[in-house]
Amino acid sequence: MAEQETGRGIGWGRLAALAVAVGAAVGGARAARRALTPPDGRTRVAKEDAGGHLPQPFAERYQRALNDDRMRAGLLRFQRNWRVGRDTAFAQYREAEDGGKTFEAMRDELAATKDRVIAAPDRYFAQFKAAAERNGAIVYESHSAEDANRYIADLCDRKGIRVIDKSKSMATEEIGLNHYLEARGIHVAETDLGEWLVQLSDERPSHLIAPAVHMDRFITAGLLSKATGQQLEPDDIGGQVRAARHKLRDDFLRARLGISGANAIICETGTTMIVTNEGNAELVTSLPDIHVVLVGREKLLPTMADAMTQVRLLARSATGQAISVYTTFISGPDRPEKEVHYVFVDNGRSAMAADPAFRDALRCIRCGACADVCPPYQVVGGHAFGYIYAGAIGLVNTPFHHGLAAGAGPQSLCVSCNACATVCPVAIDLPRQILDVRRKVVEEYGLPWYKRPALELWSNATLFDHAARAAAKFSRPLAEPGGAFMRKLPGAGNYQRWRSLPVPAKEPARDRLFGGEVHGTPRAPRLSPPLLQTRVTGTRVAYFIQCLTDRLYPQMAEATVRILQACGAEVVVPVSQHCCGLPAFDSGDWERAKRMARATIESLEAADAKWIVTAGASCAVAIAHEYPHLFGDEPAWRARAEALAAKMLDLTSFLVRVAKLEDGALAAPERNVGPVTYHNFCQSYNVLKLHAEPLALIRGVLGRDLVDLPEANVCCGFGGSTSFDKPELSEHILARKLENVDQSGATTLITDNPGCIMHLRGGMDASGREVRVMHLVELLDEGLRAKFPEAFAAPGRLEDAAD
Amino acid sequence: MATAVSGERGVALDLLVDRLAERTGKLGVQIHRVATLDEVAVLAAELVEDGGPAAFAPPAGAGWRAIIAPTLDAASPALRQHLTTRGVALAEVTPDRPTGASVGVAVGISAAAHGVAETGTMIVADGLADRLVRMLAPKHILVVQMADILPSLDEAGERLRALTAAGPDTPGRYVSFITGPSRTADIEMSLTVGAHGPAELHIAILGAAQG
Repeated sequence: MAEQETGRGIGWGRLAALAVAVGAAVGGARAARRALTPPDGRTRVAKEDAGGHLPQPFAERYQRALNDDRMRAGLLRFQRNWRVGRDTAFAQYREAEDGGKTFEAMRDELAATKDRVIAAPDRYFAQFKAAAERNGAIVYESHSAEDANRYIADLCDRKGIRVIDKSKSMATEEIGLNHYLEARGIHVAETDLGEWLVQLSDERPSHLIAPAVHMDRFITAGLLSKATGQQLEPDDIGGQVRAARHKLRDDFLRARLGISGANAIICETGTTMIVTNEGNAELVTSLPDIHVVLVGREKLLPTMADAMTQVRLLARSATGQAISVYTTFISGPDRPEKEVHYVFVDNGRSAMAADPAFRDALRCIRCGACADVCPPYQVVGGHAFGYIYAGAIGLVNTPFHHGLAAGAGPQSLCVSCNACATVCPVAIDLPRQILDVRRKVVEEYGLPWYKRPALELWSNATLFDHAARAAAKFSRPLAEPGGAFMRKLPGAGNYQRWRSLPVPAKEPARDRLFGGEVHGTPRAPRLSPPLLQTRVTGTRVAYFIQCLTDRLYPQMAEATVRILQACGAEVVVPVSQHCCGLPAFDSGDWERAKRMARATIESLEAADAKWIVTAGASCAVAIAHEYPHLFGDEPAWRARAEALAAKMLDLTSFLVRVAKLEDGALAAPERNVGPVTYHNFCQSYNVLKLHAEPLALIRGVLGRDLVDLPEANVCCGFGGSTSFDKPELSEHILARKLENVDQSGATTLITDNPGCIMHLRGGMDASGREVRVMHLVELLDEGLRAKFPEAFAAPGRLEDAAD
Repeated sequence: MATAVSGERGVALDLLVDRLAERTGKLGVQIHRVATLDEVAVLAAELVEDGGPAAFAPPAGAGWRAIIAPTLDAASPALRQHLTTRGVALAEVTPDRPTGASVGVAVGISAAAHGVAETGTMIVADGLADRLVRMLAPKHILVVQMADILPSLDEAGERLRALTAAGPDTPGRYVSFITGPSRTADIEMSLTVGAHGPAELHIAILGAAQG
């Protein structure tokens, strides 16, 4: 057992460590930017490789994005419209009278097909090449991005071509084709309206399928007025489109070579599939006598039937359409004078295929859905949340296509909400891959300076305990009147302005619960006999407290133990428990994450319980879902992690799926406390798949009404370490959540993760909102007390220790 | 009398037409159930009569015209006669000016090889000149035989596979699925039709006239 010291004997060294941690937290915002300087400095190396036109350093892109409120408002509308359109499109397909498959069934089907190709790329490529050549096409495998560019430039030179047109292609963006050709005097006409707009503004696409989504109509009117020589009105969007059409028509007629990408290339028939809504690809691939398809092997699909599956998923995921307006299938030249060239680019794809952790990312069909659900993307857009490729997939593939340095900044913006994983039409494990990128960044460039001491302190159970006790003691004078929040510290600026920080509890939960025993029965007297009829009567359950609950919200810990006992469980609280390691894992610091994970596994194994339950849902996710991955290369620990994962449950899952609390079990006469609503902690919703369960507890078990919360399962912006590393980002995501709570009209907001609660309570207080933020277990505990007043009537029984 | 059916599932054709009409309706496509090519000519005459956007307007003194895609013209020469009878002036596709015909042309007419009820899609498989006729006029009429309407993309994929496997110099080299009028939402998600292709799409289903 680890020595349990009290706060009495803190040495100077420990105080110094605490001071470092506090100072680091306050200086977090500035430090975050400084810490990224080394990676950004190195992008200069990559810059020369790809034609001198790569994005600005990350810190500049991020700052510019934070200043762009118009973009942010546009992206919020965009994401909300997308969500409705996408969900409606999949539901309509499933529910129609000739109804088809579910999203999940089609997704798994296409993912499996793509995996077959990724596993045997040479075989499928050979099949495609043979079919394409049979169709009369020319297939060229380039050695590098430069080589692919050169092939196309040489082709233009050979044919004396000086004007080419293009339909939208991310692969050409990836290799910097436009700038390569322009530098050689070849004019490239972009024909997709969005792509043309970003070309006119000398930018990069900020979204895979909506390149100019970061612009509003005032910006587009300015760009198009200049390009067409007409005075175009911002409010006349139709007029802007018509002017663009007429201007681009000239380019179509002049171009003698057309370049496209491919949405899929089909092996059995040697066919390219290209999807557009405008119809520009029809013209680009028809009018000129030469058509060049720039493509990577990841676009190979074995059969036409597979292509139909992709069609069904792609447009629904991208724009909420059942199918795009034009889906074009080109199988070689369609007339004697026509040439069709395939230029294959690798550019890191083989390395991706060879890496088991990232192989899945090659399934991507470039629908953009991962950006459309992404809360940080809404705040900063695709120029900061990405590099050439934007959105979650951009965070994953940038290190392969453009080097780790280029991906270092963007990956730091992910809040790990896992929303992308739920809508990806090929089931790429994007959230995990982003954390794997983060780990690589930390291994290469180290932790930000302020994080090393903070995580060192956090990963040392004894030191952390001293520091936390000291913080609890010394923070009292800094508390606001009322005692719940800290006063705003001068100089804390953006770190504290928009959120109030909690004052630590005088006495941590562990002191209230342990009662001096190693696997102690909690100090509160056992509820005997159990108050409720459940399936867990007599079952031994180990309770994992969770750091924030322990130090900030001990009353939540006591409520959890009371509820578990009321269910008849035999509750044990392993004394040696500390942090699960999530803060380190989330920061890319696998060394310390593993250290904490090993200690947690040992502590929880020793409890010898049938179930391990926590009311900290993020810890349940870390232990049940991340530990096995964390120990991927340590079989013995992996086996222990998996065994533990099988027993690990968040409180909601435990009460609904295991204890099977009955409807009305905690229903008491309704008290007039105002409307209640529920915020789905993003990982509870997206990873643990707790969709109906919280409602079953509130509506069913407690018998209480709930009002709807718009965007209830969108992240609140806490995002673990993100809220400390990128407070500006966290602030904006929180603002979206708070506005949604305002919309709901609720005066009580319930959720199931202490991190969200800290964040939401802080935001409510700082913005002057009078909304009570509670953990679900506190609401259940209220129900318990109201339902069984006699159990709480006797003095000394079942009462909270004084705070 | 036996009901006409399509595809392995044996879905009644009139049901497929209804489905196709329902699903294209949401896309702003107009469905016309017609019995004869002359009814197509009547439709074209009305659309020519209504003219087109100013940017496409014919030179002073000239009137609006229609244009027939060469493949359809060759396969169904009667359409040209019906149009002429109905007083529709025709623009011609010429080898040296495949696109020059767009000035003053209000309506293009071409044929679809298949319809797909699931998505309200028309499958076209023809040549460059046909494609240009389909893209360049502001309004377009796609003519499809009722018996060629397929239930779903599954059957469409099978047909596509057969078309593309047919060898060089066949229409299967370049096949398009067209679902609604050309559109863009690249500026503030504002849906605007007629981005590069037609802003108005009409589908004439031959053999689907009721009554």
